[in-house]
Amino acid sequence: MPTDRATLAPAVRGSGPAGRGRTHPARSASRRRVNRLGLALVAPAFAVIAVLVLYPTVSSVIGSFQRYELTDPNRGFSGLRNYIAVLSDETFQQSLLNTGGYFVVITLAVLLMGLGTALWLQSLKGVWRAIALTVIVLPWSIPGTVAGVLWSFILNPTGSGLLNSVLKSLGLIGSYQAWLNKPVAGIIVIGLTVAWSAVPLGVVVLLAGLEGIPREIYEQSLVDGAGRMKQFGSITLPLLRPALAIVLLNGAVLSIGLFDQVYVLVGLDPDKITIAGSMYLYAFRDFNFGFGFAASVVATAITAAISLVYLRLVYREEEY
Amino acid sequence: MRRRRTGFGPVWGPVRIVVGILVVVWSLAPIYWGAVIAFASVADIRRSPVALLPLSIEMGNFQRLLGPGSATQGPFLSALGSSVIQALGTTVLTLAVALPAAYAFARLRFAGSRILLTVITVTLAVPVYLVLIPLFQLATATGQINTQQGVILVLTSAALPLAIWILRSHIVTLPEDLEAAARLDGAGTFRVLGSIIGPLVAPGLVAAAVVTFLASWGAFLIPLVYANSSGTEPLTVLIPTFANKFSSDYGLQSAAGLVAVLPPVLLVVLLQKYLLSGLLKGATK
Repeated sequence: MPTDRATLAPAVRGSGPAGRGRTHPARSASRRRVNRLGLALVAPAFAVIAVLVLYPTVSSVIGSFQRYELTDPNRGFSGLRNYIAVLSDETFQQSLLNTGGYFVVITLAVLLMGLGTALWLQSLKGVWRAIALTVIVLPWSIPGTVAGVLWSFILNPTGSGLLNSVLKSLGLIGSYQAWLNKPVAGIIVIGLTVAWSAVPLGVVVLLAGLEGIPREIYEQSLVDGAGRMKQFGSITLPLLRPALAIVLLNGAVLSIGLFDQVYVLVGLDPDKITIAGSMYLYAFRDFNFGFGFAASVVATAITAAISLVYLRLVYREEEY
Repeated sequence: MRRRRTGFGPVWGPVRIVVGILVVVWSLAPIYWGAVIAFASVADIRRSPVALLPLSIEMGNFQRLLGPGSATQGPFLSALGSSVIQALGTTVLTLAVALPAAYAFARLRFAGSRILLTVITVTLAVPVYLVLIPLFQLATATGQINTQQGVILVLTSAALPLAIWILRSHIVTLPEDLEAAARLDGAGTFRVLGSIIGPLVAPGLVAAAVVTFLASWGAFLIPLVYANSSGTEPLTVLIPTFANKFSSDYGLQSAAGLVAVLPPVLLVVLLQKYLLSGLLKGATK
């Protein structure tokens, strides 16, 4: 988002509102000064990003087309072989499927719970809202691995398993269940524990979106005789599109890169493993960096594709 | 007095209360239950069915975790130290590098500013797992594996784009009159940065600091790869190994977890306002 504010700082130095770009000696000298200063201020940040983000990104993409096993000196260009090997590997296919499951659970949870909680928060005022927000944001601040440990106390099938104990006392289950070991239920339960950490950010974004909708629109539509459900469908949801898009994007990025909570709850169990988990195994158990590169590029491509779909279908600024 | 809101008609009153209870229980249950176990006696942890309220409050688990002579004391304190060094180091380095850049992006129109800002914004979307292997190779080649500064650098690169965004969006909203007045008085850019922009930018700085600290305190994949030896592994890496090694000792695990949860919880409770503005700026720009 380019902003014209940036020109103001040099302008106050007395060169006046001269037409920009045209050569005026004093102007172009100050121009050069600003250029030098700007680049000097940005240089450290850019150096860190260039060396530690841009270079490795390019290196990963190139590496995904190369044969590269740490234990094997035989390296070099191998075309699509890493991709073919990874995509036909059963563990990786399972990890794609599992990640799809986590993605669905997390997306639904973040949308429904996020929207419900944000609407609820909107009905609170002042101190109550501040307290509620603090409570709601807390799970987001807790490290993923610790969140995994905390949830394991609730989900475990032995004595202190809170969920099993409560459900059994209520007569809803006959015996303690190993929730995390079940194939489908396990994915849903783990997805929900991840949603525990992910929903707070969604709530904050959606609440800001709700607060940004001008009150007059609701008042006008009441005059026009619209009911509350109708208002929700025809005003709230459409005007919330940008916020919803952000929440969906965050959910996608998070679920496709998911690693820590799953790692703590079920380890690298093939039934539950994520794409990031199988990438970790390729690279740091098998030391097959080529496969690891391919897996990480596949995950990034999926994230990018989903993001584009969201941006095209959901993100739209509505006219008031 | 009823407020006209985006509610759902006459059922909204009771629904509101039910939703409120669900939200609070859902958000706090895992933390509450972890605390109950951490302060419970070994016998009470084993009790089945469980009691929802604490049956005992004692420090036995913390004593076994941290007491003199316990096997976990050394590794745990070392990991706690590493967590503090890495999270604080990352926060300080990130802010030191991000603040000048954010100021330049917000206030100066210099050659290449737009393209550089675009590049930095795009790197917000680069996932950690994509850069993991090349950074591992780089760290191995330069001998930075299992060093505090190596992890701090990688964590900084992960936190930097967001910190620049948060600070830039904050600086853009500040009034420029003060800055202009100082310039007319002959203050140089670094004076302007230090004595005028600095205090004004403090709320944005706190927001960026809290978000960066929480992200690096909670980081797992990065330290798992670059700091997994006994001298450098942080709590997030040590605690899952506890969960394996002492898999039936919930008391020990929860005591360890509770220590790791304390700094984030304190930050959220004390600095909620800044944290929220930081999150919003990070998420919506």
